[in-house]
Amino acid sequence: MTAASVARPRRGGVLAMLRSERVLLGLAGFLSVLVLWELAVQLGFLRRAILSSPSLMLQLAIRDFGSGRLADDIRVSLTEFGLGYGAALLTGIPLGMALGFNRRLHAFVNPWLGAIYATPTIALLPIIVIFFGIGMESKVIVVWMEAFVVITVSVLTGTGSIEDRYLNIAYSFKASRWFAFRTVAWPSVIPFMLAGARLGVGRALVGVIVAELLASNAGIGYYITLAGSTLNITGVMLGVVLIGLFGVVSGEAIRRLERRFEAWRPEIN
Amino acid sequence: MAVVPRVSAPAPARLFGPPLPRNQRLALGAAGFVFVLVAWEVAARLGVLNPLFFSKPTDIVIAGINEVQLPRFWNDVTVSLTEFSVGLVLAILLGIPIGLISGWYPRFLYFIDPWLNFLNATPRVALLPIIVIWLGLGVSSKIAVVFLGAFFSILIPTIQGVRTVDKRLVDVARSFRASRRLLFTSVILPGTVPFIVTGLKIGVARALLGVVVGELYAATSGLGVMISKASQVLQADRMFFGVFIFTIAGVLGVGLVGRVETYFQRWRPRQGTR
Repeated sequence: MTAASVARPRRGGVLAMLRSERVLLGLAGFLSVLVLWELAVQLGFLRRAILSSPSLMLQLAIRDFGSGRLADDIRVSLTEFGLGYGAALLTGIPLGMALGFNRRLHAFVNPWLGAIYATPTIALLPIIVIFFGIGMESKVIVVWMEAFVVITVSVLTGTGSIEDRYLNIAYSFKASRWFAFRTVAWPSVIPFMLAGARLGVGRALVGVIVAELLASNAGIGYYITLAGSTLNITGVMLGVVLIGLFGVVSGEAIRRLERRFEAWRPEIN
Repeated sequence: MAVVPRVSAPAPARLFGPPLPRNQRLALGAAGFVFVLVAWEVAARLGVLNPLFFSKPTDIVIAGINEVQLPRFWNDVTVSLTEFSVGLVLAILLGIPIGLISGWYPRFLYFIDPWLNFLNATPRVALLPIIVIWLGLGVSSKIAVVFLGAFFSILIPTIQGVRTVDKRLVDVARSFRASRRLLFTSVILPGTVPFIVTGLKIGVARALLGVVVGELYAATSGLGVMISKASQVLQADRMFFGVFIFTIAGVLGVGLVGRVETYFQRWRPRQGTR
C-alpha cells in the first residue's frame, strides 16, 4: 500500500466514493446535532436545567469516572446483566432445541409459551423485588426472565428451518444421526440462535435498567434515578448515553458474529 | 440399498418424528394448559409455593371477579388504553412517513444514521426519568414513552423495506419510463408493506412495554399502578390479574397486526414453497 493510494481513497471508484460519502455525511449529522445542542444552550435558546448540554455531560463524565463512582455502578450493572443473560443462554438454547425436536413436548407447552411470549413480563418486577429484595438477585432474575423467552422461541423457530432435503441427502450417504445433526441441523439453527441472542440483549438491557430504576442501591439505573431525583438532568443524560453506548457495542458485536456464521453461505440472487 | 432402509422413510421422522395431527396437538395443548394451572393450585395449597407471593389460580379468578366490579379498575384500564393507543398511533403516523422518506433519500439517511442507531440501541425506557421531569406524572409522560418505544421499532424496518426493494422491479419500472412518483407508489410502497407490518408487530410489543414500565415507574393511575400497589401490600392475586390483562392485550395486539398483514397481502399470489 503506497502513500499515494492512501491519500486518494477515491481511486477505489464509485463504491469507495459512496462509502466515504456515507461516512462523511454520518459524521456531519452526528457532529451537527452536538454542536447545535451546545450552541443553543450556550446562547440561551434552550434552558440548561432542562436539556443539559454535551460539554456539561463531558465534565460530569470526567468527574464521576475520576472518582470511580461511575465505574462501580457500571460494574454492578454489567455483573447483573452478565449473570442473567448467561443463564438465559444456558437455559433458553437447550429448551428451544428440546421443544423443536420433540413435537409432543412442544404441543404441551405451546399455550403457556405463547402467553408468556405476548406478556410484558417486566410487569412481574414489583413482586420479584419484594420476593428477592432490592439487591442483585432480583435484577439477575429479571434479566434472565426477559431474555430467556426470546432466546427459546428463536431457537425453536430455527429448528423448524432445518431442511428435510438436506437431511435426506445426509442419510443417503449413511450419515449417523449425530453426524446429520452436527452438519445439517445445527448449522441451520445457528443464525436463529444468534438472532435470538441479539433480541435477548435488548430485552435483558431493558430488564437491568428498569429493575434498577424501580428499586436498587447500585448500578447505572440507580445512578440515573439518583440524578433524576435531584433534578440533575446532566447526570440522567450521561447515564442514558452510557447505556446507549453499551447497546450499540453489544448489538454490533453480535451482528459481527452473525455475519461470520453467514459467511460460508452462498449468496442467493 | 437394503443396508440403509431409513432412506425411504421421510427424514424428519427420524429427527423430529412425524408432524402431529391437529386434534392431537390441540388436546396436548389443552392438557398442558390445565396441567400448569392444577400444579400451581396444588403446590400453593400444599405450601410448596408461598401463596403470599405466587397466589393461586382460584384466588386470581376471584380477585378478577371482584376487580371488574370496581369503577377504579375500569378507570385504570381506560388510562392505560389511552396511553397505549395515543402513543402507538402517533408512532405509526410519524414512523411510517419518516421511514419512507429516509429510505428514499439515501443522503438524508446517511446524515441521520448515527443518531438513529444510537437511539435505537438505547432502551428508551431509560429516558423515563427525564421524561417524567419534563412532562410530569400524568398521562402525557406515558404517551411519550410509548411513542418513543414504538416509533423507532416502526421507523427502522420501514427504512430497511424501502432500501431492500427488489432491484429488478425498480429496473423494469424505469425501463418503462415510470415517473419517480409512479415508481414510489407502485413498486416501493407495496414492497415495503411486509417490513412495515414487521415494524408494527415489534412496535405493539414495545408500546405495551412502555405502558407497563412507565406506570410502574411513576404514575397516579393505570394498570401498572394497580400491579405496583397490589404487590406492595402482597395481594398477589390482584397483581397476577393485572399482569393477565396485559397478556390479553399483548395477544390481541399481535392478532390485530396479523389481520392487518393478511389484509394488505391479499393481492399477492400465493407462493407455494414446493
